[in-house]
Amino acid sequence: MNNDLAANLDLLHADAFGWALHCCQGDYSRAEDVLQDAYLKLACGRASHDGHSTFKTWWFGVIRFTAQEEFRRLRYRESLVGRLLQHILPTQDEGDPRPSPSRQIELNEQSQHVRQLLAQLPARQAEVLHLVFYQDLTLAHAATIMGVTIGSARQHYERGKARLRLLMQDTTHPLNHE
Amino acid sequence: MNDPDQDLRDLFARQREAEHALVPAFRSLQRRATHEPSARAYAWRWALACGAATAVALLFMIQPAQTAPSLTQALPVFLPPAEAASTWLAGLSSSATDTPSDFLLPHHLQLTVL
Repeated sequence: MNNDLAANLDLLHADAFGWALHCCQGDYSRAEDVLQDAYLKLACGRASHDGHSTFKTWWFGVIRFTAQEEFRRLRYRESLVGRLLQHILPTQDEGDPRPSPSRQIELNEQSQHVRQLLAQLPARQAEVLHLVFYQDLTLAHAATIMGVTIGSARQHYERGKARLRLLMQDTTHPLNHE
Repeated sequence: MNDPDQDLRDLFARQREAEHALVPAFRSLQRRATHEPSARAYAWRWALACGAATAVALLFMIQPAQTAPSLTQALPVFLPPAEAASTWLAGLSSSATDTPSDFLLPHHLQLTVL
């Protein structure tokens, strides 16, 4: 990994982790694994920036794809065959998918609260809201990362915002439920 | 000019601030990615080892079984073949059975094979 690339990655590291965390539904250790795998892809030359999009857009696309791969692997491991193979061939200790108790305390209520709200939205809507508001990306960049047209991204964005506001009102006024 | 989405921006800004405090160090993740074999690499090693073991086992199973020699070939010949037995018995005459020490026996004890 050359110095320029490492410097770019270092600059984006915190945001990249936030994105990985979002792609892994807030699972801290899975997000770490995903980001590590993404770095490994760069180090092995399995992913390289071709200049068609900004570095951040491209890098977030790589992380998103890596998270999807990780999710497929997780589903496979949870399948019957996977569990059988894991029983026969114990693999390296992969750790508890949940954050440690100390980490759970550190993940403060605010972070969990937003995550819970986003979890109630369709995945695309949550994704575009995260990219626009958390990562401060434009809709065009968000659409590129998500692999959808800008029109589709805008639709998810508008619907997501409206629905999130409704959910926020519900949580700030708990009496509405009664 | 007021931003109509300021409420959402504030919400995500607070989340961002909280999560940035928990980000693992870039250097440690980068080092782990470049120096430590991932879990997948371990899985590949296991798969390769199992594949090699299966291939060796299959080789042994596929090899044609060597036909064991029959007992008549394997065992040494202690007795003449059955067809020669009659001639062998016929050859046992009294003269053949007489031993040099027979003369020491009393006469009534001397046996003769008929």
